[in-house]
Amino acid sequence: MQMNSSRRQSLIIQDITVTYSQNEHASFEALHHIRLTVPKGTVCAVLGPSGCGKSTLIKTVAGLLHPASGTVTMDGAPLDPHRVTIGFMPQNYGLLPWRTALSNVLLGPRIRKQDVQAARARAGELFTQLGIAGLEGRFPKELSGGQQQRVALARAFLLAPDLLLMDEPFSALDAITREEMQDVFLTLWREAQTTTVLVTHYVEEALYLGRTIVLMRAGGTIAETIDNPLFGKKSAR
Amino acid sequence: MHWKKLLTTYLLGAAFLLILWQIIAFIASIPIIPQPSRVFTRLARIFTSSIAIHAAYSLWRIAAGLVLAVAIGYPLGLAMGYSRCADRLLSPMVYLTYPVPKIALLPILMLLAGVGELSKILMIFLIIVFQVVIAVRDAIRAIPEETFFPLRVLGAGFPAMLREVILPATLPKFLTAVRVAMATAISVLFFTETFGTQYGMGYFIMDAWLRVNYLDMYAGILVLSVLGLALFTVIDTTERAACRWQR
Ligand SMILES: Nc1ncnc2c1ncn2[C@@H]1O[C@H](COP(=O)(O)OP(=O)(O)O)[C@@H](O)[C@H]1O
Ligand SMILES: [Mg+2]
Repeated sequence: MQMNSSRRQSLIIQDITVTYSQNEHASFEALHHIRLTVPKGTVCAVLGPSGCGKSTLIKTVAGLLHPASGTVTMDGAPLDPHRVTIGFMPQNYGLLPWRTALSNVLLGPRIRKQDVQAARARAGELFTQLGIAGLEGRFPKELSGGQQQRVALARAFLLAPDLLLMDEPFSALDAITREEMQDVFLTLWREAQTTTVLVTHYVEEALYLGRTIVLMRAGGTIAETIDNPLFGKKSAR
Repeated sequence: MHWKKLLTTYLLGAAFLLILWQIIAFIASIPIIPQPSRVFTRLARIFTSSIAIHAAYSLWRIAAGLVLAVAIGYPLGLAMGYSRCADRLLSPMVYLTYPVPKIALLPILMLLAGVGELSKILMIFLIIVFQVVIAVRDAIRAIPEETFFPLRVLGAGFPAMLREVILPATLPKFLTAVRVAMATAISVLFFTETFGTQYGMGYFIMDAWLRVNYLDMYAGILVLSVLGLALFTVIDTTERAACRWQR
């Protein structure tokens, strides 16, 4: 019974194949029969070389790409953005350049027509917690890479999503800032315990942030799924 | 702060032009180039009694043409930028008609819409609408697909996409297009106001010229210049305020 309920509440990627059509005649298979289960409240790190299909996988889970075959389900039902809150953090942070930092963070409540005033108070807390208090009125262009990343994290965690998807969130940062941001992420994550899929091409990042690690290889297949005992341990890096 | 600096440059420029005018008038000393002081005196005397109504007519025609052009051009550009299908359908028409100097269509326009108000407004509409369509279409095409991702995963519908992404992303190019088209629109309006109407700055200036009333004519030119300047300032200020994120 216990087993059954925990299984129902996890993210299940069932046998998905994704193809990109290049023209009328040719298509390219980026993912080949991917099967993956992410238990509720864990971080799954997807690790693999560039071009192996990591972004394709995360976009498919986010519902931005439609698989040629296979299904993505959560809590036993297909992922529907109106039923399940999905936080998506693309590689370039995905901030709207014409919105201030605060306004970017409040995007979720605006779209979902939630109480923006209440969200504003929570956003203030997040800005302080993330060390970006005072930058609320700045546009993304006026922020450093690390600061933009923090704004994107604030936006993701303000949503309190059921599922958090991050595509190489810390890759564009320098080594020191990256380690700092990994710690910031873990702190926030421990409070929320959000089911998370995190894509990376850094082995240390996968070891530090992934409760399970999925190793992908070129051609869009999974080589191995590893239960990671080093999750959250500083010694991993 | 910024505002004051802008005002100072404008005032300095105006002062320089006035001094130049004064010098030329003094040296030439012919009736076709009157002293600025005399023109300003005349302007003060006749502005409310006669020029104001002409200025109002010109302004109304520009505003009506502009509103019409935006109301039709923006959705059209949006459709062309958003859907390949709409673009394939509409592009040939836009490209075939875009390079035609719109003023050349004036005789046809006057035959169809009469010499009155409608043909003048339609002329301004024609000049602005193509610029708007092309600017909006290109601006939408330039939006990276990823910009929509954070909204799409939240299940955002088209109204939210429009508000959060499309409108702000197209605003800079849209305003630039309107500003560029506005210069042409004002010159063409001047021309169209020289017939078929008793009102408008074009009519006023040409009428003063025919009456050999050079002071009235100069007063009219002055008002038309200020009108143009005011329109540019409005667009410029809007652009500056709305596109702060770009700099
Ligand atoms: N829009 C696209 N059209 C065609 N092929 C694509 C497209 N996007 C990605 N690909 C191809 O799919 C494969 C996987 O890409 P991607 O998922 O971006 O890899 P990763 O994120 O692991 O670097 C690559 O070989 C890439 O060339
Ligand atoms: Mg990628």
